[in-house]
Amino acid sequence: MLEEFSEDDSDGLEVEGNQDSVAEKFREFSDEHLDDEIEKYKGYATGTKTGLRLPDEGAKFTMYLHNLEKEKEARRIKRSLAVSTPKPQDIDFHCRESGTSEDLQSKSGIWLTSLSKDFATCSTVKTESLLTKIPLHSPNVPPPHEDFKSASPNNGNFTVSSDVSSQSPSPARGASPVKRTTPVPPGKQAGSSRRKAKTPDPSFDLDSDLKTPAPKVVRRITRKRARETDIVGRTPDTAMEINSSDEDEKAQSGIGSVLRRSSIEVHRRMGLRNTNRRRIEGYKVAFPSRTDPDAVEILPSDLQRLDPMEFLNDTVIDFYIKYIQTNIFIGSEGRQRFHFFNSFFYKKLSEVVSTQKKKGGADFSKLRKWTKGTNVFEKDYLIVPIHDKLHWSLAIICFPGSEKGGISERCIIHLDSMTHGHDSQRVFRLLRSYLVAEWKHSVQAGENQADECIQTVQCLKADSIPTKKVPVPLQDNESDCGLFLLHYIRKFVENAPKAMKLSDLEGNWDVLGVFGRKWFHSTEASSLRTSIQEQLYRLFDQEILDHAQVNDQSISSGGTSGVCEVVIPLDEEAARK
Amino acid sequence: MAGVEDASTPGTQQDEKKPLDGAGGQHINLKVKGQDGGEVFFRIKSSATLRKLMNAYCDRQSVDPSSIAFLFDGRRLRAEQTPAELDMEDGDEIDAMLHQTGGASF
Repeated sequence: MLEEFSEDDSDGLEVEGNQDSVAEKFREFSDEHLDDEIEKYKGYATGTKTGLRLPDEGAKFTMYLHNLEKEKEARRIKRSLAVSTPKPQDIDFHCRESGTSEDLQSKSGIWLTSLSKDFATCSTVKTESLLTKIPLHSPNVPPPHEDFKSASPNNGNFTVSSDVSSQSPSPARGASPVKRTTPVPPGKQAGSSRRKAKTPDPSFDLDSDLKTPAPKVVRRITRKRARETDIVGRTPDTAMEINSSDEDEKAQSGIGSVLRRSSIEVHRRMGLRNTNRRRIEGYKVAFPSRTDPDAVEILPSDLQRLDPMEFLNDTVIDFYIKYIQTNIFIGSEGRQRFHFFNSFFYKKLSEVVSTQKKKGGADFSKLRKWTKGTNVFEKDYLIVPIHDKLHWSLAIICFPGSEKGGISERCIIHLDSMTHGHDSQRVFRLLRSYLVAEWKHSVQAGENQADECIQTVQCLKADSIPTKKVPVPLQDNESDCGLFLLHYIRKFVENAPKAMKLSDLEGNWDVLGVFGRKWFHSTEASSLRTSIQEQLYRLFDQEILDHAQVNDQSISSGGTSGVCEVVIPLDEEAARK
Repeated sequence: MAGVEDASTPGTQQDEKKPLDGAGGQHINLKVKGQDGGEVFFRIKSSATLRKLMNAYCDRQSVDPSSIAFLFDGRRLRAEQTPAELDMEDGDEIDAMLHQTGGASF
């Protein structure tokens, strides 16, 4: 089709044989003019306007019309992209790709010089992609070649493609060589700048401008444009990509330094975390100390439980409960007022109670060992972490040894960071049964004063222990309940009332000093995540230090622990014999 | 039970030990109780660390050792501890409990 068109120019039609020239000419058209031309040539092509019988049956007209429509379509697409993408690439629409890369560079350099230096960091894209891959003006037309040009006779316009405008019908195009290379200030829309270029403006001194751009800058901008046109050449969906690429550039130019810094910070912290992980690998920490029989052992894997969004495990909970018991929060005197159960107590209690149902007799004796050496009824508060169904909450048994009507009154309270967390009634039922069983045992064992107890044994029945679910600050996510449990404990032991009656739990939390929805801000609890993790890292660092010092000494004594002791797992049958 | 305790006091048993055994090296029977109520019995030297017992239990139950917490009288056990230093006695029971994690109610 193309070949035919270019070779057959026997009729007098002013249709350029050179596709470049054609496209070039169209680019000079205003939108309105383009529309007019399309209308006109539609008429020609169909023969309705001319009424002529054309030798080629309107093939050239059709071709011309086809090119016009392509140009129109190209403009439409580019404009729609231009709406979402800031300026610089708009200049593409002014550049004829028939020009050499130098040509392009010089043109682009004009406005480039006004751009911020920061574009220097633009990513590089092959310049060739602009020149060869994406024929902007006529996407579907094969690139022009020498044969084609030489084959088109009569029309002197072919030789200098940049002179296309001089043959265009519009008189306004006389000055087009200048306009074509008119510098377009970045920021102008494609359409408007095109129109502007059409009006002859003597103030443009193109030649001088063309010489100005510095080579370096030119190269940068060409790459940038190449990349952008690359994007333009794709489907409309990639408009988003363009936006993002602009974002990148902005980031690199203006706020770039800030973003770069923050991303460096993120990388630094991630790197730090990984470094920390590797550093503590293979070590473990016992808190408060290895010699403490109640020590909690923390492994490196437990620290990951404190990563963002992770659920806390019993080790972290028990560690921090131990930590709260140190002098930092409560002195030794204050510590006597509390008993802290570990995170497994409640689970064990529910086991004991469930076997009680099966066997018909509760065996709290195993559980009693958990409080060996402690008379829970002498304590003001028993702290019971509750775990069930991937959730942590807290129960506090208040003044277990106090009777109703005294300065303080026995009761069980439940603190839950979720409105639909644990079933408070189940918590109360289990803890009541524990208290009653323990009370009976202690009375029988004569641990409490006998004369009082004879009456209280009758009194202390499960349904006589008041319970209350108190309002507390709630977690605002799906992962922090363990932290809230810990923060409840911490805040409570710091400010636990010396005496507490049931009437104190009616809602006047400010007076009581604890509980209530506004007890503390939820971020306080959530921020424990990082502080506990940092603290554990410090403990690991200490452990690593100690290990390095002790290492030499332990070589001799380490030999004994390395000796393999025989462990024989026996079958249950064998054990019974 | 009292008789067992008497028999297993380190002082009375030490003389009968093999030469290789260190102090407190007599064997005791320990029971590991899982949360399903299942019990596994082990015979272990008092001076031996609990690591082998823990590993043997997890092997036998086909569970990941890192998923189980061992407790004795409510105390969290460490692999390096020995029955002797924990004052374990013959017939004592160790609880094997699944580690608990939680973040929200489901």
